[in-house]
Amino acid sequence: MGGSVSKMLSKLFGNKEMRILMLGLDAAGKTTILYKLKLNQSVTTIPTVGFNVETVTYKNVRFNVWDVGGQDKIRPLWRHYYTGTQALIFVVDSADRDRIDEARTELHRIVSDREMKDCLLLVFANKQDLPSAMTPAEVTEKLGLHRMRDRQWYVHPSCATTGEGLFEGLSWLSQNIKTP
Amino acid sequence: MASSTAAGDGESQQRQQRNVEYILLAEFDIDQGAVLKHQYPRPTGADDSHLAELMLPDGAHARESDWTVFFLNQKPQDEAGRVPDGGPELLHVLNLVRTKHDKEVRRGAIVKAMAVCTRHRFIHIYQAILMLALENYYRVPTVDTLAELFKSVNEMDLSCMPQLTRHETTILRFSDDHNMFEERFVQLEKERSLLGGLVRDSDHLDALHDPSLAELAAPGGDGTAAAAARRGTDASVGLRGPSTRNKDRRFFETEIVYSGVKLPIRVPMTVYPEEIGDFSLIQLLTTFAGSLQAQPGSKTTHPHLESSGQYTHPIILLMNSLLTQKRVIFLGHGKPAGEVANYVLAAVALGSGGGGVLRGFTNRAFPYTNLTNLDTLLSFAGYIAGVTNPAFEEHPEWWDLLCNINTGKITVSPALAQPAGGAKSQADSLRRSLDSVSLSRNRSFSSRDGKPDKWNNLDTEFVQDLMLAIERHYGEVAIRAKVENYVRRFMSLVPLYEYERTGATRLGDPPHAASAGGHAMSPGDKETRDHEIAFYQSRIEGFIGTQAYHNAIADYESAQSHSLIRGIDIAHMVYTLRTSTSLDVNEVEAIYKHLDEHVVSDDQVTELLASLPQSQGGLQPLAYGFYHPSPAIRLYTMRLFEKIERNHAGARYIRSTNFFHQCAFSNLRYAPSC
Repeated sequence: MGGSVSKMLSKLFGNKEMRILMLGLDAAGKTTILYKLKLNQSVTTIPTVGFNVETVTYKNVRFNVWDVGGQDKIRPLWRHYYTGTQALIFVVDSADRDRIDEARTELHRIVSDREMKDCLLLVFANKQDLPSAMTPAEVTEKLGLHRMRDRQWYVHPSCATTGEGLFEGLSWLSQNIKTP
Repeated sequence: MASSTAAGDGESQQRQQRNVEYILLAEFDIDQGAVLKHQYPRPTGADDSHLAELMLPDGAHARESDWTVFFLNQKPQDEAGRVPDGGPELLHVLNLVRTKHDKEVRRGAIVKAMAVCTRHRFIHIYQAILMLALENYYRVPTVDTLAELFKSVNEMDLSCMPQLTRHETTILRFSDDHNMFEERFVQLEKERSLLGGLVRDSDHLDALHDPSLAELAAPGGDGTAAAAARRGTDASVGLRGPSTRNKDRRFFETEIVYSGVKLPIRVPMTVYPEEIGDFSLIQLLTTFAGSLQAQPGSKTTHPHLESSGQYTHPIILLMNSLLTQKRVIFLGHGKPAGEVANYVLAAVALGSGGGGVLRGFTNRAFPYTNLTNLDTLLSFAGYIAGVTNPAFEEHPEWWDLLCNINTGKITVSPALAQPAGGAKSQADSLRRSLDSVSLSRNRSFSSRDGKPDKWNNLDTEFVQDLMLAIERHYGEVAIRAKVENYVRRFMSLVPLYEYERTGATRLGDPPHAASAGGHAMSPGDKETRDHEIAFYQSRIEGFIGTQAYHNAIADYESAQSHSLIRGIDIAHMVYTLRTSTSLDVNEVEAIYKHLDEHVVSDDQVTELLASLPQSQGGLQPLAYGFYHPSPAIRLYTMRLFEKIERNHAGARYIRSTNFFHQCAFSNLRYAPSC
């Protein structure tokens, strides 16, 4: 009942809902981004066992963000979260040059799944505060994004601990969301 | 129901086995994820990473501690719908997970989990010791910590715990008299103290004969002699009589000594076969009783599940799903895994009839599970699973019924009503074809009657009775007993239905029962029964072929060969005496005559008492025979009571009956002519 009223209201006032899946290698900063967005404060996060899911409202869009643990062994479980996903936020540790290839492989595996065919792709080139961080252009190139022709993608630099760049990313998502 | 002897054999085997089979330790490795670090004393045989995932539940990082419960050695059904016999026994796993924040370590926290794997159904007795042991492991992270725990739990002494048969368990479970089997405890304690005395004496003798030993023992102080002496004093305290009186003998008191700490342990004596751990059926019922199904009006109802169409009460919906072996998920997003697990364990008790009527629910229960276990889950034709991950809600193709603990809402999968799609097993498609048959039948039934009639209210009555009892603060045992009676009544209809439909059944012997006089059935009763069968038809059809159905056949067969009271159906006789309003003299006389003839030995009296639980009036239904106009019936009743009185528990039953019944008994006894 309450749910249907709020749905009606949201239609009246143009509120949109968006289901977002946030993935990335372990320790890329996914959970920190999630809670920075949710609480607008920097929380010290510990490795995620399983997943976190939170709703973040920004510019009249309710973002339902799923943050799934990134360890090697549990990556096969990512596919169970694909259904209904409208946007993928892929988080990259820009300072982790050793594993950027691994990140590329994982990213291409995700977007090649049939269920992810139509979803938007936002890449956060995270940890820009670290001295050795790769630039967004570098990340774009290393992830082979230019090869993705049939997809809307966007790379944005970010620093999860300060929150820099995060809302710009969400802005891009809210502007490009397709209303069903 | 398992026969008493079969259960007794199982128990005596269990007696020689260890309390705990394995100790496991898992850790969330920040690079690798969930990792199983140790298994003690040897690997369980289950997949390592699978175990680790079940020990480190989703969201463990977000709370300080949590519990999970899962089982090992579960067997899916084969092609014919049966679960193969043999193989390793089902083990129950109780697991504690803790997250400790530590700024010194990389990424700020350490998540570890420790589990015990045991045959015991009362897994909750290991909670306290797991907390201590996991704490120790944080300090000393080696396999030695597991070894110490293993030694301690297996030194827990259950040798003085009487092994109650199934019938005795039932009697004690529903008794107001907590000392019902006092003699059994006292006897074992006596034996123990004698044995303790012997040990002490032989120690003395050895010491006398071997001076060097005496010297060794004396300075040691805390040596074996002292230990034996301590045991001796314990025993003599136990023998002092009054101190053992008024102990609650529904529990066996013992202790676990672990790193110098004595942990008192209370082992419940009245656990039914499908009751695992310390769950609350009341919580399950209250969470979901108020839920209104939010279903679109056009949705077709599923006959197995929605036995009263759209108006099916949510609890009945759940009960139907359990009895017809559907895939049931309990989802508690953001809830501790331990809480979700308790819902699953309570559902097992609901479907199995308070844990005591049907078997096989535990074998397909996954009190805590997650996405890593999905393939195993889906390999079971029906399961009862607890999850905290809302991703399950978005995949209705994985389940038939989803119970959301947070909202109290029960959802039937939209995928369920659709016709079987290709790769389903034969049994499944058969069940589905049955579905469609009974669906059309159901429709014609309801269109004829227009609105729900009297018989559609059978379930409503049951649910109202349950909810009223909960409102009046009845306890778990009372609530479980109501569920037990309900499922028992349902099970009494299944053989009748099968027999009427096909001319044969392996769950009972309807023609014999009908001819044997004892199975008295007045025309009114028969009408009631036929209506009940018609009402439950789709549930019965859905039940046939399930694992619980096959187990019920096996149990009936073993009851036939092991039952102490042969040739009569005690449960039905008691039911008749309790509920029938229009029995004629001959029928009543037949019942009492049969009882008097068939119930002779002490064990047979125990079996009779088990079908007369004290919480439901005990001997009351039989005692009315004292006042029957027919002298023959009065005589049978008196003789029966004399036999009951010679039984230890029976004497307690008689003492707790109404004063007038006791007077009537003694009057008849000393002046049988009147």
